[in-house]
Amino acid sequence: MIVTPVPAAAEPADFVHPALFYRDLEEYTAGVGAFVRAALAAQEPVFLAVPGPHLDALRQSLGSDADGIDCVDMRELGRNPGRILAALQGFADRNPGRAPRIVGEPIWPGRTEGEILEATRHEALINTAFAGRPATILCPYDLSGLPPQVVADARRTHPTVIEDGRDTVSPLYTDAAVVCSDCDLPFPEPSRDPLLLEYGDGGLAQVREQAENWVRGADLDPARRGDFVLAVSEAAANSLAHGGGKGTLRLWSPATGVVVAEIRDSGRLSNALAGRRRPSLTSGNGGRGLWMIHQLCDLVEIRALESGLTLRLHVSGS
Amino acid sequence: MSPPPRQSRYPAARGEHSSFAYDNDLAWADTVVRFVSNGLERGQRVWYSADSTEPDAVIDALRRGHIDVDAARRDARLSVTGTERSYLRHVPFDPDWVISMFRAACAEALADGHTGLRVLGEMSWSAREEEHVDRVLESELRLDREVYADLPLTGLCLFDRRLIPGPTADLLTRAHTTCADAPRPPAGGPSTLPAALAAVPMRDRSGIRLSGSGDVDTRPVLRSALAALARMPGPTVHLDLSAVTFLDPGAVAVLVEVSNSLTGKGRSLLLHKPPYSLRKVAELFPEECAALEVAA
Repeated sequence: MIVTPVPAAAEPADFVHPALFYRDLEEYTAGVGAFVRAALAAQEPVFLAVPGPHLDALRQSLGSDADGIDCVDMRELGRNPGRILAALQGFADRNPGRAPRIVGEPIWPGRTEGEILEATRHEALINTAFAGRPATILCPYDLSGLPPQVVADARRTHPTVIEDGRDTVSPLYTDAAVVCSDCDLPFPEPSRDPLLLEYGDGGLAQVREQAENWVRGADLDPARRGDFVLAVSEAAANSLAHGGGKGTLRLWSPATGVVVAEIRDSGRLSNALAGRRRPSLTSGNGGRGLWMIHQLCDLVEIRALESGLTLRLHVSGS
Repeated sequence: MSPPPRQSRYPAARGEHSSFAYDNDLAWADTVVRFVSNGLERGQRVWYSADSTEPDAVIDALRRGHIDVDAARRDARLSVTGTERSYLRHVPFDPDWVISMFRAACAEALADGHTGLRVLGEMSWSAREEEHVDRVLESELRLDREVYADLPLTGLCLFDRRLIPGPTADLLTRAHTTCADAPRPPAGGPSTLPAALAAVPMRDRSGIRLSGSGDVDTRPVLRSALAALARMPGPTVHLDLSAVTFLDPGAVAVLVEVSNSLTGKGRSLLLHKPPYSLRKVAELFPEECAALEVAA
């Protein structure tokens, strides 16, 4: 049996964020299971956000210990990686004065490159969002199934790594701002000719009309078309309010049943955490729009450069 | 032989509240003459409330239109006054006062043996009431049910586009259930595109029907329309959203705010046929939107 050390419990005002490298399901359930049992023994709130099959394996391994634990299938929550952080912060917010122990597994074999970049950005931003907060977030990584670059990035986004039964400081750990800017890689050009629209003040109704007319031709159900138009409208409204007052919209469909809207403006993402915490309906600093966009889309790709901000919003059938 | 003049549609039925927007004096005189003649023929008392036009100029125009102005004025069948004797008798502009004034004037006309009252109101003063434009809209929306619905009053609100800024003129003209003349294509100059959000009164209940879309560009119109709605009488006010294509979260927040404020006064706001976007925003913000009530 493999014995995996359990990361030291967070001291007050300590944030602990280890990557757990595993090679097979046995190592996975042993390592994550020990983490969960230690959290339960310490009577701290536990939240499992891992892919469904891993949830099943953990439930089986933990038996009745798993009863009553907050669980979510990360393939749903983390389909768009930009949604995850709001859920994790929400869990911590619902447990004030406690030191929550969270298992977050945002990257699994089979994710696309675009998704992995955004999940890596999410991993880096966890450090910013939880800095100074008493909490532990354990992130399992599949050494045998994931590309070496993903594992290398996990060493940059996690201050400590648990590997072969040892919990060590990661010498490659890198400041979140640097990791995020490394994720701002140039986008590939659209696979087919996009529809292009420049917009400015007073142009939101036209943006929606264009998006709505265009998306009607896509193979999507009416609700997802509505979500797409709502997301595009919010993104364009952010351009007008925070992105220099004008922007460019491009629409294309990379595959049947998938639509992409690209919103490009001259804005700067002044707060990298914008949209990654649940806002109120009345908050109006751009965070509400971005949070909504993250909830509405299956993937939101972000490129925050000196020259401006570009978002690519992907929506597919539900 | 010159072609016959184009027949404009103008209100004839009892209780009709119409608007007429124009940008030249010929169109103004044509409509005014026919509207006044029609009222006199029907035995109604006719009241012209002038604002940018001098009362004497109105009288001249009516004379040129072959109306026996002197006889009509002598018999108190026709009067031409300034705005300071009508809408702006009380300043700042007060819709409650205007509603009472029209009701009283109509009752007086009936008591004097006329078949009803016909009012032509130049609305150019609304351009001077920028601050209170939401109250002007309120007045236009409320008059329908609080005056026209049960009194033989026929009204024509005159909007001189040369004097009233485009967005204000669009918002106010579109708050009428009928338009005295078909809108003409813009003849160059400033755009006369319809407002992206407009409100008309509901005829069968205390409420308004919005059309267009609600976003940051139309937020002021939405706020004005809902302020008017909140001042309509009755325990429940209705908001028909069936012609609204889109509401952004900020627009939904305005609905929540108005709904909460009415609830605080023991009243309620009932939404009809909201667009998908409202339902989605409510799904994303369930706690805040729990206040919104949607008709089944």
